[in-house]
Amino acid sequence: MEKLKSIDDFKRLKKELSEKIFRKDTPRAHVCCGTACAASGSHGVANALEDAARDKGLDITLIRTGCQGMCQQGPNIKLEPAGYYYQRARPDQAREIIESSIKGNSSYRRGLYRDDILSEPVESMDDLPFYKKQLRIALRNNDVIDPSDISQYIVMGGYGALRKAFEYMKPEDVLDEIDRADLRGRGGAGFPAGKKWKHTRAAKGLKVVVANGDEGDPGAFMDRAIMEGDPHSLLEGMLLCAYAIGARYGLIYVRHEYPLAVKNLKHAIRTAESLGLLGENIFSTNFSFGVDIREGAGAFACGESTALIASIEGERGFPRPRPPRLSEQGGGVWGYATNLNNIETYACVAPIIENGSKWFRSIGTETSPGTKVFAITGKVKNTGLVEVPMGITLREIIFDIGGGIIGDKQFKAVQTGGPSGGCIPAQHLDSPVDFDSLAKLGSIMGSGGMVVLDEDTCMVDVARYFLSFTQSESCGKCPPCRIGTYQMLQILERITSGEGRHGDIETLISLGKKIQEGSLCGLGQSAPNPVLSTIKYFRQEFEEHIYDNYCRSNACKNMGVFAINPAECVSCGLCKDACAYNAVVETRKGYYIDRAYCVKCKACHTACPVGAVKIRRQSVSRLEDQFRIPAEDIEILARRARMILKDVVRSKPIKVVTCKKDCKVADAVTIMDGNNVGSILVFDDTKQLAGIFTERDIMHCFAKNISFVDVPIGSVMTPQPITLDASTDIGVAVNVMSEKKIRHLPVTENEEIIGMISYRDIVSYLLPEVIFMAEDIY
Amino acid sequence: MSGCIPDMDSYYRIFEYELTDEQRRRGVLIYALQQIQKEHNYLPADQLARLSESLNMPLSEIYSTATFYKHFYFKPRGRNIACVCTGTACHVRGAGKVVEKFKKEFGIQEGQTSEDGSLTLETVGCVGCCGLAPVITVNEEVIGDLSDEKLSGIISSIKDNDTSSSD
Repeated sequence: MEKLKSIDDFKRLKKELSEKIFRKDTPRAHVCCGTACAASGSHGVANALEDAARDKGLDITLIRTGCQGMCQQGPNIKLEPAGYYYQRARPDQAREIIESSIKGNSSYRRGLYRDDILSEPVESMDDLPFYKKQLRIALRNNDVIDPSDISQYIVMGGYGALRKAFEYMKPEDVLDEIDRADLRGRGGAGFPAGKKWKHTRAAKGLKVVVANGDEGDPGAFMDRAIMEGDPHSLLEGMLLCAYAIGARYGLIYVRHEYPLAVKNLKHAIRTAESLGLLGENIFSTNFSFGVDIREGAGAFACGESTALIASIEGERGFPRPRPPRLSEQGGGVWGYATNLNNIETYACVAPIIENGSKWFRSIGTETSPGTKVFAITGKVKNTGLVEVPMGITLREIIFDIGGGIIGDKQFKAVQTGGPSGGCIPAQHLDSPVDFDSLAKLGSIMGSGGMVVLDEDTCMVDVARYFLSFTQSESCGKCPPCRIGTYQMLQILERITSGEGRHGDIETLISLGKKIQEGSLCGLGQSAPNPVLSTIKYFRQEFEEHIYDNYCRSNACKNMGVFAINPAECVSCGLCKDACAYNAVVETRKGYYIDRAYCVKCKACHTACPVGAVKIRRQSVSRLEDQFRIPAEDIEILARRARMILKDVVRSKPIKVVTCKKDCKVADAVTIMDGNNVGSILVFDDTKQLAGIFTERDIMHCFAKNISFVDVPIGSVMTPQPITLDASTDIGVAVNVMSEKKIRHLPVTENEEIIGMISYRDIVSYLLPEVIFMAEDIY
Repeated sequence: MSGCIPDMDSYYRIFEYELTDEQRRRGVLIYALQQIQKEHNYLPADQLARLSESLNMPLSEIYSTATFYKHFYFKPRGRNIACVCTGTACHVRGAGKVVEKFKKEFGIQEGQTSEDGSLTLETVGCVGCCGLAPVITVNEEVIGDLSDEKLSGIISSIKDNDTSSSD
């Protein structure tokens, strides 16, 4: 193609291309060739489709696109213009697909998506539950175009925003539009891009635009998808940024684990240069902008902006203190003022310029407009890449789009924001996803990794995993991060190997806080987040590991007591083979584990095909051995003992007897007697709880010779009674009641009284268990 | 031309005039190291010494940068390189077991090369293919959705290929 000399040239080219590419009368097959689908064999499928079409003498356009998102079900094929969407395509199905969908007029039913075997297949992409709630801005072209073909990008409206900016907008207008759109940085912290741009624009001297493609967070691959699948959208975003801030050069820093991204980006830069969209005097104006790629060499710390700059300059990837900020002269690459944004942020720029800031602000929430790409992975049915409007709830992402948990197990938590983020438990599933709400929950949006954890995941182990990552990736410059994370990791490794000590949790928290305060860069400051947030929400699991030597998810080694449940054992003997210490003993009746020899290595537990090898708490197993109480019953009992006051209130008919402050004592006693209760609540005129009057108080009145008929109850009641919330543990309530010497306790929920509990109520509630244990013991 | 100064002009397609000579020489360092590693599979000491001469930079500074980055190796690596992804998604879907299996089969630890030089076992933070967890890359080819049988197949194919190629 010839170099474009003016905007008119560009318009002409676009018109020409539109007549040739994506025509309605030529069928097209968009085969996903993203990394995941390629690993599942999509190139073979694409070749087979091509061959099959040639054999049939059909004219189809085969397009190898970037990541379409639904990685779990890959390789994916989208057939246009019919719109059929096929999953898990295999090369041997190519012939039938061509036969039915291209030659014929129907879909190939076996390749379509189904929720389960019995449900009706879904024909088109937009009707799939996975895609239904998505709104694609940054990934707009990913499922459509061939990343190596600039013409397809142009036909899809690519470089249209650039044309618009050149034709109608001054650089200031572009800047204002981005500022008004309130586009927040997609890399993690959510700093407004418009502010950053303005700051860089104000700096003196040569300016540079840098795109941060060092996507080091484990569990995140949205930048990869954009760089591989739609490199021109990144280039166009960088061009617009350069135009707005007056930059001369651009650099894209790509991590070395992404070779395909480097290849596609290089090709994209070359083709854009040959068209004159990059380089000297673009569209014959004074504006020149050159872009090149810099490859990383495997350092997570280089995702931090100052460290990234150091790496580009050929130094160790150490962060440095700010100021000077990158956007100031003396702060950026080689001292030139630099604007650094994430890949996804740049990909959002062109649509904003094209459609205006009002359109962008109409999507998402007030403080976080637009969409966000998430990489949803872990124990969820449909893993992959999704782009959703901000403000969608976690539940919608995980259960509607992600399809729920594999094997319909219990959802435990979702980890967001990678090693800088935190874990969000089930009770917050309905909170909206935006920058501020996630921060409130102790996590961050981060670059958009979302790892779903189920009941089989041990939260202590997850915390340890993230810390081992940050510890090994710590650049080592500042001691709080270098030494602090090491110490925290040591403690966590002790806990997960069954050697936790009293006070470990407190030490972790205080160490974590110090690292947050004392570290130099953002990565260090956020390194303790995964540990602190798991302690916040799953402290009980940490305590179990330390005090009970037990891991409820059976993920940690050297924990609990091993036993074979004879009821489930099928006597296959695999556990005996697996044990390296001869701890599994065979008898005529079956197998049992000799605890004197067991080293708790979990080999038998892993080997057992039916799950008959059980790992139990020490206390449970002792009771089981000595009193033959089934372990399940003990677990139930333990759970009941953990019960809260609400359970006790629910266990009996609700009867709250009340009277007013000026009610006479004699009347109050009559009411109590008539209702057969031992206490009465006294309210004042504003209907606030003023006090309590109990059997004890009757005794006091009698002893002090107070006239029951004349004295109002307000003067003899116990004022400001102790109340407890319904979510309080029974154990806590018993403690409080004996400590304060009270027998009657109003229980509140949301500051409203929902019932009265007496000491006897609690005892009768726990009575069945007490009797049950007593019977078994004697 | 290995170890010599890389082609500066093609590396600085942009920033042609803005940088000092020293900045240009330092800026090309990581790229130069990558080129050496591409050729030799690791960074041989004599090559680094030559690079130090041609870039006119102390050897200590070259090592300072090279040792910082995980991607650079200072010992020869195996004929095959298996890289187990230990990213979060892979971790929760059992990457630990995959690493164990490799360790057991080849008798090596992470970062080591088996005695016969057939395989180097590495781990990586994340290959960005979390949708197919657990994932490994064998000689840069991504293999996902690992199961026990699939893994055994991969291991035996590595062993077979290696013996047939060395015959």
